[in-house]
Amino acid sequence: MRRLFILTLAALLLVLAACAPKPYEPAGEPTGNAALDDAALALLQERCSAKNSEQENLRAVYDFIAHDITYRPGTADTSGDFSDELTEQLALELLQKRKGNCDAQAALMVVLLRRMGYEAQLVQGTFVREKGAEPVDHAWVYAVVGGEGVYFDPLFGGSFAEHAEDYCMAPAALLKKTHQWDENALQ
Amino acid sequence: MKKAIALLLALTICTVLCACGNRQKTLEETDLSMTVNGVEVTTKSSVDTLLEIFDGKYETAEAVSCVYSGMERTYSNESFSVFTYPGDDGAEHLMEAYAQANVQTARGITIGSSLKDVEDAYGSDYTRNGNVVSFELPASNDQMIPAGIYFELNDDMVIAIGIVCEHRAQ
Repeated sequence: MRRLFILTLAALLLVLAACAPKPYEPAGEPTGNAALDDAALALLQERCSAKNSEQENLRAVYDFIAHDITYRPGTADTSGDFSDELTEQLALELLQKRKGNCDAQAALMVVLLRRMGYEAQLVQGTFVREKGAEPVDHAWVYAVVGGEGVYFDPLFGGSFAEHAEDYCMAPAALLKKTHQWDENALQ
Repeated sequence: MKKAIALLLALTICTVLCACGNRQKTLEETDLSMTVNGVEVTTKSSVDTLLEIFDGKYETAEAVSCVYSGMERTYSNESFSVFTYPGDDGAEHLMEAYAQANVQTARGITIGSSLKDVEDAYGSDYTRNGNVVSFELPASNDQMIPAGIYFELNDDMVIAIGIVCEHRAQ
């Protein structure tokens, strides 16, 4: 009787273990910066799910930056090109402090997209908040998703757009209404 | 035996309820305060007063803001930073002060305090985003980022403390 009870319990545990959701395993390579890689993986596994579609996971990552990161002026000199080292430094700082400017938000988006297995790069350009306003230096992200080039601008989406989600996987035509950049410089 | 179990159960429930009751502590504007290098930092501090903490040794980063109209600035040295933003009046306003050393809050939290120390001092009515624990006052309206105090943690030990002034979200 006792043996039967133990066997039933073991079988039940096995069934439960098999049914437990598997953690999201990103397809991309880590950066090699252990602290950043650990923090990025933890965030991806918290926000993404193996059951979700590619679009849902991308949206979850974008939403985290657009809504859970608070804007704060930057401290790093980003007047030159963004090296991988600077991108990773800004991304790690943002993950730790949860506050940062457009450079840091774009850097983190690039790191997370690459870890998810997408080609992604930071775009430097300008944008205007409203018609007639002076263009302001800004940074956002270009990535290739499903063979198509699309843009992510969590800061603009979260702060200025009527619908934040419009700037997740946005086509170039939408961004051109407010943003300016050198498309030919994108690889 | 039944009486003993009932008594034990009642005692346990009382203990748990009392413990929960102690976790709620009211946050006042005066709690949004810390002393850095002997200078009191509050949400009412002027940028000029805070710059005195640096004793003239700081770096400045400034840029046209992506979010506000005008220049935003960061003044910092290795352990203290002051973040400012341009107000509608064109003046420079304090957004946030952030300290990683020589700091003590009005409720006695310093670098190296534990999360439990923070909870004992400020209660458990906080939001946690990653390793950042924030206590906030209600915002004036939904267009504003609320004033608050936050603690950056590493292994649940305080490594930095920040005071945030209420400011426009954009």
